Amino acid sequence: MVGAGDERAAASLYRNYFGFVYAYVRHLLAQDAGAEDVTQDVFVAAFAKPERFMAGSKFTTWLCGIANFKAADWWRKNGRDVALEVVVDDDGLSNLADPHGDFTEDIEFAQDQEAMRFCIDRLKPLHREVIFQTYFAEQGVASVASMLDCPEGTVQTRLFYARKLLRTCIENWIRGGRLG
Amino acid sequence: MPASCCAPALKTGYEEVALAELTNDAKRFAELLPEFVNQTLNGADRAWMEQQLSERPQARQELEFERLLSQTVLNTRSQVAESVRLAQMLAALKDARRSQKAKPRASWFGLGGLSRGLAWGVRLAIPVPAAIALCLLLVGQAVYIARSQLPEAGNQISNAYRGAMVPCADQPSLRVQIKADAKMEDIILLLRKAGATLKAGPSESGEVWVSIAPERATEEARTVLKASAIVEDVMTLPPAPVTDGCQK
Repeated sequence: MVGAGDERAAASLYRNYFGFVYAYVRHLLAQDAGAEDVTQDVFVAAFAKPERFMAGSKFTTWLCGIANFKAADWWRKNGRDVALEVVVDDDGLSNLADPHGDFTEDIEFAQDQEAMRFCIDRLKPLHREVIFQTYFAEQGVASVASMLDCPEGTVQTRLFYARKLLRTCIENWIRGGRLG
Repeated sequence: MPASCCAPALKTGYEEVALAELTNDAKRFAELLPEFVNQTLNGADRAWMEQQLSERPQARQELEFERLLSQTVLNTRSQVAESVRLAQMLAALKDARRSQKAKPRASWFGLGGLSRGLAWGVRLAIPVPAAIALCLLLVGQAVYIARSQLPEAGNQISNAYRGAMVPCADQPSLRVQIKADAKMEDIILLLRKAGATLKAGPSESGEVWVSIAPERATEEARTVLKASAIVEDVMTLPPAPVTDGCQK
């Protein structure tokens, strides 16, 4: 129906899948405005040539495949403008001093989420990827490992270090300065 | 959700060690935590996690942190109103479809095809000098093959197997049953007399297969052979099919 130019069908699919695709792209780019643009591009590309969807595969998998290409295009065009130096560095974070005191008691949950969002955006892409697949797509470790074509132990390790880095990053956020 | 969800975990030192250095319980807890928060854990593991949570304060702090992480990720939402986004997407889709219809179908032989081919080449990231070298190589190969097919004076040997067709094999036309006590020289003389050439045999039962020279009639040769004292019988064979690609 989408192929025949049915706007209602396109709108219905868009409403159903936008949330997932947006979150996927947002975790790929770690950037709000870019994620909005790229997600729109993904749906336009998918609906303009729906015949390219292979029956039997998952629709979200197909959309995510398009999203990967669109995100790569976006990085090529905008990568220079993105402040890459804020990406969390494993060594830099592990050398930071341990925090002391209950300094987060007065922080609201919204602020915690803001801090968490800030820190997730500064993870490496491979860490963001497992975070998205685990917590948004709610996939188990075995499923994520299969999707990423890597051993389960690798997924566990990435997840472990992603959480470790997030903690360190949040400590610094809470201590009064972004990344100290 | 308490505001201090991050703080207590910071004091445990739990995250300062590598995954491999964790105790078995701590490692298992860390591995199961995401699924516990996602509520996708099976009964036995869930019960174990709940026991850990009731026994270890740092486990509860880990859970708080995990919930914050999970909810932050789940809260990944667009800031633009859906109606606005949808209208923009449909407008962009219309434009895309219009431009698809307006675009002439590219032909591989026309100018459109050339640009498409170039675009394809660029996508494959073939460097232009390499592409030119490849084209020259292909053209050179084609010229070499074409020249080698042309007849040349003084090059008869190559023509014999490259240009000329192979003569068709002379198929046997008669099967001759020779007597067991026949001598070799008698057989040779008989074949000469009949104008026959040995093609196969003799078999263990004394059969030979012969072809007859073109200038000689098969029936005449058959008569000569049959009249011999060393021949028991002569049988005419059906003509064999001519092999493709040979010259009669």
